[in-house]
Amino acid sequence: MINSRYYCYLIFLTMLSNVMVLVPNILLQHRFDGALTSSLLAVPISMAFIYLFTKSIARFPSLTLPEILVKSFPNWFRFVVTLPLIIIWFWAGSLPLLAFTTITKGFLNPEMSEYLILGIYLFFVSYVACMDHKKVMYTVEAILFFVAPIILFILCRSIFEKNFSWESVNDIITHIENRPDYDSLSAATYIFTGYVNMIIFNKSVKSRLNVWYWILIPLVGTAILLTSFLIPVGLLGRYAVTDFVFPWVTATDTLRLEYFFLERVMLVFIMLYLFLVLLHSAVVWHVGVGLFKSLWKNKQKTKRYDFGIIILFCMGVLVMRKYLSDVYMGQALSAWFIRIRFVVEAVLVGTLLLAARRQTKA
Amino acid sequence: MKKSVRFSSLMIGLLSLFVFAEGCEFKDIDKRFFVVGIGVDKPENSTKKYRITLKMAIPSGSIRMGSESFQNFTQNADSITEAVQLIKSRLDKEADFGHTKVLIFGQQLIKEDYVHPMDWFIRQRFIQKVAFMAIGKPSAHDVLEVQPKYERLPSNALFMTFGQVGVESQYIVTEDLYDVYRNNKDPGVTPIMPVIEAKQDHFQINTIGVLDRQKLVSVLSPNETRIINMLRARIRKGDFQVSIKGDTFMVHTDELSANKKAYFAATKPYVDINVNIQGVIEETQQNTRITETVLRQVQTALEKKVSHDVEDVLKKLQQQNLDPIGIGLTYSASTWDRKDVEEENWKKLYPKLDITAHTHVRINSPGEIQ
Repeated sequence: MINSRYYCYLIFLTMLSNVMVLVPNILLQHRFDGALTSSLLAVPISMAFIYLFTKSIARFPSLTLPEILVKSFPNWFRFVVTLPLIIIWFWAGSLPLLAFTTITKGFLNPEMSEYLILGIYLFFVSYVACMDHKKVMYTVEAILFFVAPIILFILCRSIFEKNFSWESVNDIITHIENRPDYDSLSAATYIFTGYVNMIIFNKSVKSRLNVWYWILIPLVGTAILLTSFLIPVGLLGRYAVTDFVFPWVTATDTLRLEYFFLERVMLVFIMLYLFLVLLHSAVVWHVGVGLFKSLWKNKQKTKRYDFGIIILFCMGVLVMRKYLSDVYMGQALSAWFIRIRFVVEAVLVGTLLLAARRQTKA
Repeated sequence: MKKSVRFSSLMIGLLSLFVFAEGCEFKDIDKRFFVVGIGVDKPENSTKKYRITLKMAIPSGSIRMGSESFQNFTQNADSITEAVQLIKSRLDKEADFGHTKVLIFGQQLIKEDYVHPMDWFIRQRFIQKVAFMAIGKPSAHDVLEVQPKYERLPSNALFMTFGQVGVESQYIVTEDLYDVYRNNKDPGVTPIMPVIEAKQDHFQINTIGVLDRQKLVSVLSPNETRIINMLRARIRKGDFQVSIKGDTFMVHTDELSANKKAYFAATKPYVDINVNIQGVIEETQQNTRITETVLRQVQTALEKKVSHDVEDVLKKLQQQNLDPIGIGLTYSASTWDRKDVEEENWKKLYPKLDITAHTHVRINSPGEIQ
């Protein structure tokens, strides 16, 4: 068992890697309606989810979700829960990869074939996803420590930009009276959703969070949520911001670092996010592989199975890429993913809660 | 051991991503022309819509003042894309837009339209969103042709001027591409652009053009320009002239700040512009001995003058329904209505809004002599 700070890394990784893709697009669409209210509402809801989840799973030390299901429910029930989860986890890992392939192709290397870019990304993601739990967690720690400070620097730098329009941000704040809507709420809660990866990592990571983490997670989460949504508004303007296909990429292009070695912050930012997104996809797919493997109960689980499942995932992504011919389809798919995920997350937490109850009674 | 080897090979693998993550396609620097500025004009005797000028820097080994070399290529076309493609057909190297930092619209064109040509600039990923926007007088092409003797690299004089790395002047307003775009879309602000006047071997930049959603509406005088620059709080240094008792005093300011306070809930809504100035006296024309009383008098006179100037320029802009300092944005930021209600209300409110200015001047010293 490794330290519970790794549990926290899972949450922070999801927070950081979603600042740029998926979440801000949805929130910005609702910026004059319920986005801000939903974001603020998402913090207590997500914290409640995290609390219930952590308390429930603490009853089952060193057990993964499929093992818990076998223990507390009839056998058929584990297929009902695991199968949709596999699809959701596969989806969660592949969407950012596809979005980032488009970004890389568009902003970094327009000459390269998208399949080649995607292929290289898939190679690294598969490599990390096939390691065992502990090694995945060590990789997360190492890369997070390397990338997070620079990203924080760029985020701070963008707030202190001379042309940052605080009045645009204030205008968004004056729309806080609007009712929250489901889309924004599900997008905003996605920021906090890293904890669900514990359904597999519980095998080797301690699931107990101490008081400091309970304070740190909502604070960092709120900050990241507001950053992800309000910085593009301040830089690109409250009306123009939704004109851009990738608001965050363009927003970082409005920063000028005169005395830095690179003129365009955008390139550095994309590069750093690449690390986070690849890492996030790897972690998510690691969980997906874990869930998939659990479908065959008694077979010997060797590395070969891992590779087989990962190759299946990779082929799935390539097929998705083939049929997602434009950015709008990708965004529609992401929007649906975010909507469905929220329900699944709630059901998952509910199931675990029930399992924990039965465990106590038994 | 095995663990660490695998981990480090992973890290090396990830780092190797940088190799193919180059900013642009892979071409050596000697196979590129760097486009440093783009000018868009209205052609004089042609039915085409635009006359595009690309200013290409020619890379050279030694960098000395006045030894820069560049070449301008012009092309008439109906779209910027077409013009760029036609210009490319005349070159032997690939045109690189990664360092394009000056985008100039000709005076004649911008009087009709600036939104449509801007589409290309904002849509292209390879044009920096922080490129400087300006109006070229008499034309964008003429501005790009100017070759100042003090320039080391092509267009560097304009980069230094607008980037506020070199000169700091109260007449020079900097507007970036994304700034113009966002203000154009925002109903609470109207965009502005500095006007660059091409002279024999230098530029003169001391006026701004105020734009509406479609075109250039009016060009402000240098004095109005520095008032607007002051109100946008982008510059701290400035000079003001004030006459009392038959003498004229020049006041240099080293602290300048301005803010707007809006009272939209009042029965007669009004906006208060507060200007704070701190400075010293630089010059007198009649050698008046500046006693404490004179200093106070200069102070009061200057307060009156600045307030008057501010109100003048803002009211003039208000009559043309222009709002470069973003009073409409302040309105939206302080009311809690729905977005469309806000837009409607503001349209009705702005023409009859009362604008007052209050200036607070503190002159710290009369300079080195009394």
